[in-house]
Amino acid sequence: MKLGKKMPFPLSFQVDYDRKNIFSKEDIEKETQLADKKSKESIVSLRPSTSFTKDAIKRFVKNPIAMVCTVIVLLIILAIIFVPIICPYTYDKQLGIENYDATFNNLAPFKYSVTEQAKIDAGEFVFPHILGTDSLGRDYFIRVIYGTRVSLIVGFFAAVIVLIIGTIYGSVSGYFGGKVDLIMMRIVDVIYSLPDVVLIILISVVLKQVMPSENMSGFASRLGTGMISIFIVFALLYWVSMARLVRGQVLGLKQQEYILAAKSIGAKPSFIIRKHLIPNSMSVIIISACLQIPSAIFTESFLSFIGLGVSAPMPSLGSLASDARSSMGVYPILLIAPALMICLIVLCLNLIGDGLRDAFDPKLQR
Amino acid sequence: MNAKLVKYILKRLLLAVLTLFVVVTFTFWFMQLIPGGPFTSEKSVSAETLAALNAKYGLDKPLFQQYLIYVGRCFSFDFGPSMKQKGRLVNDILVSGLKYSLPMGFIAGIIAILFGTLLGSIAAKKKSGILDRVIMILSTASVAFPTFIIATLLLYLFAMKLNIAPTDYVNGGISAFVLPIITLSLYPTAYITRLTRSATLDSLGADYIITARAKGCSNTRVLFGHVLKNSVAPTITYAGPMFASIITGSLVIEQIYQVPGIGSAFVNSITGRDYSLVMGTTTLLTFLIVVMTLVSDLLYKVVNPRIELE
Repeated sequence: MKLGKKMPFPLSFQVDYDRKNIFSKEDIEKETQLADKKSKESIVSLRPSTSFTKDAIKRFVKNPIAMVCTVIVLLIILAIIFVPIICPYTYDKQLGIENYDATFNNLAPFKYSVTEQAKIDAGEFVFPHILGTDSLGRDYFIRVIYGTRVSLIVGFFAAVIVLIIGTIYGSVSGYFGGKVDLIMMRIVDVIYSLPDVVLIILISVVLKQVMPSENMSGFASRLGTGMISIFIVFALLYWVSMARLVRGQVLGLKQQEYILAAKSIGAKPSFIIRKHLIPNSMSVIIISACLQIPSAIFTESFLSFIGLGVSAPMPSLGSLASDARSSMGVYPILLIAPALMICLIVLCLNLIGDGLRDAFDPKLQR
Repeated sequence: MNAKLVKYILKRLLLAVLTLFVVVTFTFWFMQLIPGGPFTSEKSVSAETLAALNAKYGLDKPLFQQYLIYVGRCFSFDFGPSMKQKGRLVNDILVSGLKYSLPMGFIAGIIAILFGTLLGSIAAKKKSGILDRVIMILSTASVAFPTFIIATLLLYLFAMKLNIAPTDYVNGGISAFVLPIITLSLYPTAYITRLTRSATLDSLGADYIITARAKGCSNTRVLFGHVLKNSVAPTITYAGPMFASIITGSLVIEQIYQVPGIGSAFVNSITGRDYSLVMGTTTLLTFLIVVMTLVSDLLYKVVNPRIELE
């Protein structure tokens, strides 16, 4: 068999069980013809080799629900990046305050205030208030966008914290086993049974009084103590399920021969954990982290809702929904917009996580 | 086998006590971080009065001694007088809160188990049918929607638009608890539906079902005697966490529906820095959650003897 430039034949042969019709007559005929045309020397057609990850991605792409959700989440991410650049309004600008105009407050969607109407009549372009304005005359669309931004950022970083702590803890516990494992897992057991929401509320209330937002600087001050306490809680409590998961993976993996091989050539435990154990359990870790994001968004919006989350004027989806509660009889759009956004994000991320799990673990499919 | 069970129960009890201890310790030292005491915010309090107040509540003793007293109180379930609501014992406040929260949570839990099992079994029996699709979509949605959003929307729809439910418990009486109970039971119902569905699908395809059918069991007997018995097992393990989620859910739901339950008492106690009430509510909530988890794990063992104890 020649390996010329015209026929870049791969060197391995792998049967793709995904394609049900792989052994059908037509297929074999077609491929034989193709092979005949290309090269008289080869009779068996060779398929490009696929790795486990490629296979899983293929399965994921074939899942319509997960793909739709991925597209929605990508659209939301694009919106929270680009809308603040395009839109002339900001989340804390009270539009009617400079040249006092009370008609800016509580505008219905796509309606304009007196000042703006005058501008439009004069031929100027005024950016529409897509969701109207709130009771302080702030453009509500941009506030929802900023709220989404805050919620997603919180969710993402909380998931990263959980991922880092859980992975390190779980892999160390699983790898060393014995007494180390026993003690580490007892600690996990205790933390696992702590009532999380009770502690979250406790921590955020206490932190709010210990370090008022005014003393902080930069991004931290804009997020406020509520957000920081969410991160603290995630770092304290939520990593345990991830640690259990990783430990389970590592327990299975460390019996493998390549670990023995690595040990026999004198590799240190930290090397084995970094180079062999963690990469091999990565798929489980990523799926679990993906499911962690909606849980963090849940927690954040819950805290903001009861007034312990972001500090005003920075909006988050939870605080927007909470603020809109008092006027929901008159301006239901103010409540529905952020509520819908939370539901959409959480639902999509959950379904993406499910899709990933199905794709990476076809045996579990149900 | 029996010795194993006893050992398991002892181990779990030890873990429960340890958990309570950790929560109590954490709460005590964490509350100390807040600058000032519970009486600093009160107006026109002279130094002597403050000292007398501190002495009365034992706040003048060294921190570690206060801590020991606290731990002792928590484990004897006697939290002393409230520091903010003058003349009321913490235990009384807790009992008056539980009077609302406990029945609400209990009914919500029962509803969740009944409806969840029913819907899950139907979905599994009619797999891939329209009914199955509808049930699965609804349950996926209810798992993803935050309870406070659902609560607010229900309140908006039924109390403000349709005007068929009272907005708060004061003028509503018993009927005011309908909406909170529905809201509380929504998430666990959806979760149990999913659990039951997959468990039922598992057991419908199991060998013992084929055996039962081959023996000539009637359809009802197969479904209720064999399938249901096995598909209920995961629900029982979930019962503990379910109770926890109902309790934590009630923290915010009680605020929305203005029910004066244990959740409102908890949030108010922290913001008011009512140390003894904070200790009381955290200890009580932790205790309830730990006990429920323990009971549901033991029940699981009784229902499903194949499970090996750790």
